Amino acid sequence: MRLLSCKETTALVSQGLDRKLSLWERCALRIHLLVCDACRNFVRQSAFIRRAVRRLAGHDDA
Amino acid sequence: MNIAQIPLLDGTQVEQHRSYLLRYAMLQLRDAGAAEDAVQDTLIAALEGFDRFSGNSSVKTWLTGILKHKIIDHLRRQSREQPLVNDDERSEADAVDALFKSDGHWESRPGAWGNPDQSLENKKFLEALEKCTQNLPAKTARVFMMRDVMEIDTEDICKELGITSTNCWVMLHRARLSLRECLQITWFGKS
Repeated sequence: MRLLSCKETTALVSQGLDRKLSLWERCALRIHLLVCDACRNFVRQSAFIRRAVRRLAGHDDA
Repeated sequence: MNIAQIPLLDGTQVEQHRSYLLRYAMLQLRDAGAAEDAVQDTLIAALEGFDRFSGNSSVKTWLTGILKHKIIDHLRRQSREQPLVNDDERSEADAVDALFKSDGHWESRPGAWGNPDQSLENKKFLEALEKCTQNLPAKTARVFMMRDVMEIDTEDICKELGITSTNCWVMLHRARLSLRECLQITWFGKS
Protein backbone atom coordinates (compact mmCIF):
# COMPACT_ATOMS: atom_id res chain seq x y z
CA MET A 1 0.00 0.00 0.00
CA ARG A 2 1.38 3.37 -1.01
CA LEU A 3 1.68 5.90 1.78
CA LEU A 4 -0.27 9.14 1.53
CA SER A 5 1.51 12.47 1.31
CA CYS A 6 0.46 15.28 3.64
CA LYS A 7 -1.33 17.00 0.76
CA GLU A 8 -3.34 13.86 -0.04
CA THR A 9 -4.00 13.34 3.65
CA THR A 10 -5.50 16.81 4.06
CA ALA A 11 -7.75 16.16 1.03
CA LEU A 12 -9.05 12.96 2.65
CA VAL A 13 -9.43 14.60 6.06
CA SER A 14 -11.48 17.32 4.40
CA GLN A 15 -13.63 14.78 2.52
CA GLY A 16 -14.11 12.91 5.78
CA LEU A 17 -16.13 15.93 6.93
CA ASP A 18 -18.36 15.67 3.86
CA ARG A 19 -18.82 11.98 3.04
CA LYS A 20 -18.21 8.55 4.48
CA LEU A 21 -14.69 7.42 3.63
CA SER A 22 -14.05 3.90 2.35
CA LEU A 23 -12.36 1.34 4.56
CA TRP A 24 -9.19 1.64 2.50
CA GLU A 25 -9.20 5.42 2.79
CA ARG A 26 -9.70 5.25 6.55
CA CYS A 27 -6.81 2.81 6.95
CA ALA A 28 -4.48 4.89 4.80
CA LEU A 29 -5.48 8.00 6.73
CA ARG A 30 -4.96 6.36 10.10
CA ILE A 31 -1.49 5.17 9.18
CA HIS A 32 -0.45 8.62 8.04
CA LEU A 33 -1.93 10.36 11.08
CA LEU A 34 -0.14 7.96 13.39
CA VAL A 35 3.19 9.35 12.32
CA CYS A 36 2.36 12.95 11.32
CA ASP A 37 1.58 15.49 14.04
CA ALA A 38 1.16 18.30 11.48
CA CYS A 39 -1.73 16.47 9.78
CA ARG A 40 -3.20 15.57 13.18
CA ASN A 41 -3.28 19.30 13.88
CA PHE A 42 -4.99 19.81 10.53
CA VAL A 43 -7.71 17.33 11.56
CA ARG A 44 -8.42 19.20 14.79
CA GLN A 45 -8.20 22.59 13.13
CA SER A 46 -10.62 21.78 10.28
CA ALA A 47 -13.18 20.56 12.81
CA PHE A 48 -12.58 23.71 14.84
CA ILE A 49 -13.04 25.91 11.76
CA ARG A 50 -16.42 24.25 11.20
CA ARG A 51 -17.45 25.03 14.79
CA ALA A 52 -16.10 28.56 14.45
CA VAL A 53 -18.01 29.48 11.27
CA ARG A 54 -21.18 28.10 12.85
CA ARG A 55 -20.59 30.34 15.83
CA LEU A 56 -19.92 33.22 13.46
CA ALA A 57 -23.29 32.55 11.83
CA GLY A 58 -24.91 32.67 15.27
CA HIS A 59 -25.65 28.99 15.85
CA ASP A 60 -26.25 28.23 19.53
CA ASP A 61 -24.95 24.72 19.24
CA ALA A 62 -21.62 25.61 17.63
CA MET B 1 -51.71 39.01 12.03
CA ASN B 2 -49.58 41.73 13.51
CA ILE B 3 -46.32 41.44 15.42
CA ALA B 4 -47.71 42.76 18.70
CA GLN B 5 -50.28 39.96 18.88
CA ILE B 6 -47.61 37.33 19.08
CA PRO B 7 -46.20 37.04 22.57
CA LEU B 8 -42.92 35.44 21.44
CA LEU B 9 -42.22 38.03 18.81
CA ASP B 10 -42.71 41.57 20.07
CA GLY B 11 -40.99 44.54 18.46
CA THR B 12 -37.67 44.41 20.35
CA GLN B 13 -37.42 40.67 19.94
CA VAL B 14 -37.94 40.98 16.22
CA GLU B 15 -35.00 43.41 16.18
CA GLN B 16 -32.85 40.91 18.07
CA HIS B 17 -33.74 38.09 15.71
CA ARG B 18 -33.23 40.38 12.80
CA SER B 19 -29.62 41.11 13.69
CA TYR B 20 -28.39 37.51 13.84
CA LEU B 21 -30.49 36.50 10.84
CA LEU B 22 -28.91 39.30 8.88
CA ARG B 23 -25.46 38.17 9.93
CA TYR B 24 -26.25 34.62 8.84
CA ALA B 25 -27.64 35.77 5.50
CA MET B 26 -24.66 38.06 4.85
CA LEU B 27 -22.23 35.19 5.37
CA GLN B 28 -24.03 33.16 2.76
CA LEU B 29 -24.99 35.82 0.25
CA ARG B 30 -22.23 38.44 0.60
CA ASP B 31 -24.67 41.07 -0.58
CA ALA B 32 -26.37 43.46 1.85
CA GLY B 33 -29.46 44.02 -0.30
CA ALA B 34 -30.06 40.33 -0.92
CA ALA B 35 -29.45 39.54 2.77
CA GLU B 36 -31.99 42.20 3.83
CA ASP B 37 -34.55 40.74 1.43
CA ALA B 38 -34.01 37.19 2.66
CA VAL B 39 -34.40 38.27 6.30
CA GLN B 40 -37.50 40.32 5.48
CA ASP B 41 -39.07 37.33 3.71
CA THR B 42 -38.15 35.15 6.67
CA LEU B 43 -39.82 37.41 9.21
CA ILE B 44 -42.94 37.71 7.08
CA ALA B 45 -43.10 33.93 6.61
CA ALA B 46 -42.56 33.51 10.35
CA LEU B 47 -45.44 35.82 11.21
CA GLU B 48 -47.74 34.18 8.70
CA GLY B 49 -46.81 30.70 9.80
CA PHE B 50 -46.42 31.27 13.51
CA ASP B 51 -49.19 28.80 14.33
CA ARG B 52 -46.97 26.12 12.79
CA PHE B 53 -44.16 26.86 15.24
CA SER B 54 -44.20 23.77 17.43
CA GLY B 55 -42.31 25.19 20.37
CA ASN B 56 -40.04 22.14 20.39
CA SER B 57 -37.10 24.18 19.14
CA SER B 58 -36.09 27.71 20.09
CA VAL B 59 -37.53 30.58 18.06
CA LYS B 60 -33.99 31.23 16.87
CA THR B 61 -33.57 27.71 15.47
CA TRP B 62 -36.99 27.90 13.88
CA LEU B 63 -36.29 31.27 12.23
CA THR B 64 -32.86 30.14 11.06
CA GLY B 65 -34.51 27.13 9.43
CA ILE B 66 -36.89 29.39 7.51
CA LEU B 67 -34.01 31.68 6.54
CA LYS B 68 -32.05 28.73 5.12
CA HIS B 69 -34.90 28.06 2.71
CA LYS B 70 -35.08 31.73 1.73
CA ILE B 71 -31.33 31.77 1.11
CA ILE B 72 -31.51 28.65 -1.03
CA ASP B 73 -34.42 30.19 -3.00
CA HIS B 74 -32.31 33.25 -3.58
CA LEU B 75 -29.27 31.23 -4.67
CA ARG B 76 -31.45 29.26 -7.05
CA ARG B 77 -32.86 32.40 -8.62
CA GLN B 78 -29.41 33.87 -8.84
CA SER B 79 -27.84 30.83 -10.45
CA ARG B 80 -30.55 31.00 -13.13
CA GLU B 81 -30.32 34.71 -13.79
CA GLN B 82 -26.72 35.51 -13.06
CA PRO B 83 -24.54 32.46 -12.42
CA LEU B 84 -21.42 32.92 -10.30
CA VAL B 85 -18.28 33.10 -12.36
CA ASN B 86 -16.01 30.17 -11.74
CA ASP B 87 -13.08 30.89 -9.47
CA ASP B 88 -9.78 31.24 -11.22
CA GLU B 89 -8.82 27.56 -11.31
CA ARG B 90 -5.14 28.20 -11.94
CA SER B 91 -4.60 30.65 -9.10
CA GLU B 92 -6.64 28.52 -6.67
CA ALA B 93 -4.62 25.42 -7.47
CA ASP B 94 -1.44 27.48 -7.09
CA ALA B 95 -2.54 28.75 -3.70
CA VAL B 96 -2.89 25.16 -2.45
CA ASP B 97 0.34 24.06 -4.10
CA ALA B 98 2.15 26.87 -2.32
CA LEU B 99 1.31 25.26 1.03
CA PHE B 100 3.09 22.00 0.10
CA LYS B 101 6.47 21.00 -1.23
CA SER B 102 6.59 19.25 -4.59
CA ASP B 103 6.65 15.85 -2.82
CA GLY B 104 3.38 16.67 -1.00
CA HIS B 105 4.88 17.42 2.41
CA TRP B 106 3.89 20.58 4.25
CA GLU B 107 5.90 23.65 3.35
CA SER B 108 5.24 24.92 6.87
CA ARG B 109 3.92 22.21 9.23
CA PRO B 110 0.76 23.20 11.13
CA GLY B 111 1.49 23.55 14.84
CA ALA B 112 -1.01 23.01 17.64
CA TRP B 113 -3.53 25.78 18.39
CA GLY B 114 -3.80 24.92 22.06
CA ASN B 115 -7.38 25.30 23.18
CA PRO B 116 -8.85 27.22 20.22
CA ASP B 117 -12.44 27.00 21.48
CA GLN B 118 -11.61 29.73 23.99
CA SER B 119 -11.34 32.07 21.00
CA LEU B 120 -14.97 31.42 20.08
CA GLU B 121 -16.01 33.79 22.86
CA ASN B 122 -13.70 36.49 21.56
CA LYS B 123 -15.31 39.09 19.31
CA LYS B 124 -11.96 40.01 17.76
CA PHE B 125 -11.40 36.38 16.79
CA LEU B 126 -14.78 36.20 15.06
CA GLU B 127 -13.89 39.36 13.15
CA ALA B 128 -10.59 37.82 12.07
CA LEU B 129 -12.44 34.68 10.95
CA GLU B 130 -14.99 36.73 9.03
CA LYS B 131 -12.16 38.53 7.21
CA CYS B 132 -10.62 35.17 6.33
CA THR B 133 -13.90 33.93 4.86
CA GLN B 134 -14.12 37.13 2.80
CA ASN B 135 -10.73 36.32 1.29
CA LEU B 136 -12.07 33.10 -0.20
CA PRO B 137 -12.98 33.26 -3.90
CA ALA B 138 -16.75 33.66 -4.40
CA LYS B 139 -17.65 30.15 -5.53
CA THR B 140 -15.39 28.41 -3.03
CA ALA B 141 -16.88 30.54 -0.26
CA ARG B 142 -20.40 29.66 -1.37
CA VAL B 143 -19.73 25.92 -1.39
CA PHE B 144 -17.96 26.07 1.98
CA MET B 145 -20.71 28.09 3.67
CA MET B 146 -23.45 25.86 2.26
CA ARG B 147 -21.62 22.86 3.63
CA ASP B 148 -20.19 23.94 6.99
CA VAL B 149 -22.77 26.52 8.07
CA MET B 150 -26.00 25.50 6.36
CA GLU B 151 -25.09 21.79 6.71
CA ILE B 152 -26.30 20.88 3.24
CA ASP B 153 -25.06 17.54 1.84
CA THR B 154 -22.41 17.87 -0.85
CA GLU B 155 -24.67 15.97 -3.22
CA ASP B 156 -27.35 18.65 -2.90
CA ILE B 157 -24.78 21.45 -3.14
CA CYS B 158 -23.54 19.95 -6.41
CA LYS B 159 -27.07 19.80 -7.76
CA GLU B 160 -27.78 23.42 -6.76
CA LEU B 161 -24.58 24.75 -8.29
CA GLY B 162 -24.32 22.36 -11.22
CA ILE B 163 -20.86 21.06 -10.30
CA THR B 164 -19.47 17.54 -9.87
CA SER B 165 -18.87 16.08 -6.41
CA THR B 166 -15.16 15.89 -7.11
CA ASN B 167 -15.17 19.56 -7.91
CA CYS B 168 -17.12 20.19 -4.73
CA TRP B 169 -14.61 18.28 -2.58
CA VAL B 170 -11.70 20.07 -4.20
CA MET B 171 -13.28 23.44 -3.37
CA LEU B 172 -14.03 22.41 0.22
CA HIS B 173 -10.46 21.17 0.67
CA ARG B 174 -9.11 24.46 -0.66
CA ALA B 175 -11.45 26.48 1.54
CA ARG B 176 -10.35 24.62 4.69
CA LEU B 177 -6.66 24.86 3.85
CA SER B 178 -7.03 28.52 3.08
CA LEU B 179 -9.01 29.35 6.24
CA ARG B 180 -6.52 27.39 8.36
CA GLU B 181 -3.61 29.27 6.83
CA CYS B 182 -5.36 32.62 7.22
CA LEU B 183 -6.23 32.00 10.90
CA GLN B 184 -2.69 30.80 11.53
CA ILE B 185 -1.30 34.05 10.14
CA THR B 186 -3.84 36.53 11.47
CA TRP B 187 -4.73 34.94 14.81
CA PHE B 188 -3.06 31.83 16.19
CA GLY B 189 0.43 32.68 14.92
CA LYS B 190 0.31 36.03 16.72
CA SER B 191 0.97 36.17 20.42
